[in-house]
Amino acid sequence: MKFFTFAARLFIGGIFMFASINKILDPSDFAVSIRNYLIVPSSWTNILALTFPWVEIGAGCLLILGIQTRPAALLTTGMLGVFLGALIYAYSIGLDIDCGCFSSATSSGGRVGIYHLVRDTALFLISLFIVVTDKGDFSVSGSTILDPLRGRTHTERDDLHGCW
Amino acid sequence: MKAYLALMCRCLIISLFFASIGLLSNLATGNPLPWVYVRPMEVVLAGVKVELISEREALRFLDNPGAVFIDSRNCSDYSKSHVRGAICLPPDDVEQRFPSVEPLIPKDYRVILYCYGPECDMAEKVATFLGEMGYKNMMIMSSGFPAWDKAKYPVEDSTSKNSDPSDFARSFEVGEFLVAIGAHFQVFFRLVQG
Repeated sequence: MKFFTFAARLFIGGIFMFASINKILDPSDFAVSIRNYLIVPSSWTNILALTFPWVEIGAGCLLILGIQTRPAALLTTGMLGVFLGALIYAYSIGLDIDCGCFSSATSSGGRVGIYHLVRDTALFLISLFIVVTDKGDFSVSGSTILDPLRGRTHTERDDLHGCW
Repeated sequence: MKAYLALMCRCLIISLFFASIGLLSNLATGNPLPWVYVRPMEVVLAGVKVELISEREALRFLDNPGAVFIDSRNCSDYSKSHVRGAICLPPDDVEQRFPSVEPLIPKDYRVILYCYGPECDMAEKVATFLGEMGYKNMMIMSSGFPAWDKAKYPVEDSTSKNSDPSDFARSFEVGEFLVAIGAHFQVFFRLVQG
């Protein structure tokens, strides 16, 4: 099981790092993508475009390195949940917009469609799988300094959470 | 419960840490993006100031006899649904289409253009063309048709009203053709009878 979890970590981490690069390089274009979804007030879109891709790349790095794996996996799961909700909303009201998933509005990653919904659902489930199954194996942090809960069972973690 | 709260706290700390890196890196760039987006109020196209308005502002002009809506999306999307009474004028063949719709857009009318939304520049392209044709009173509904439709403002499709004048012109040409054929048949039957 730990090999599956490790593979899932590398996969989701890699996807998140790859997806964030274009958005970090051109946040104004990503802001346009967010505005097109008509979900958040347009005044918020710039700050979301400035921060979201960095959280994406950060969570991706942490997943790959195995530092704070469960919180990072929970973050990626949450973000994928938000993306999936936005895609379902856009698809349900028939918005003909670029999904902005891996790129910015003008460099076209394809119009929102069933393919995007299926892909995001699969990624969401893989990310959730990491949250549930990760035990801290194959992590860069050899000590417990970076992740004091690493390698412990869920019961031990629950006992230790009081001091975190 | 405590465990989940602790997990959430760590998620929040990680998010805030990387989000602050994003904000700081933006400040470090030569041309930082403002944190709060402010919608531009107007653009200048072909020397004409064109006001950018929201769908709510555009709604005020819907039943105004001195205003006309122009849908600059593709005509296939126009025929599915469009702002009630809008005219289809996509930028790709605007020069060919314009003569057929020109009578419906007097120069002193307020022209409100729209397309697919903020990312789309089709309305701006058509506004540039109209500006060159002498139209001075133009507005662009920058949020586009999706926002209008989402707000449940009045829409119609091409089956509810034939508001594409070029289609009307085409059907008129077909009608003329049929009348001409009928006339020829009449002459032919007279000749046969005679």
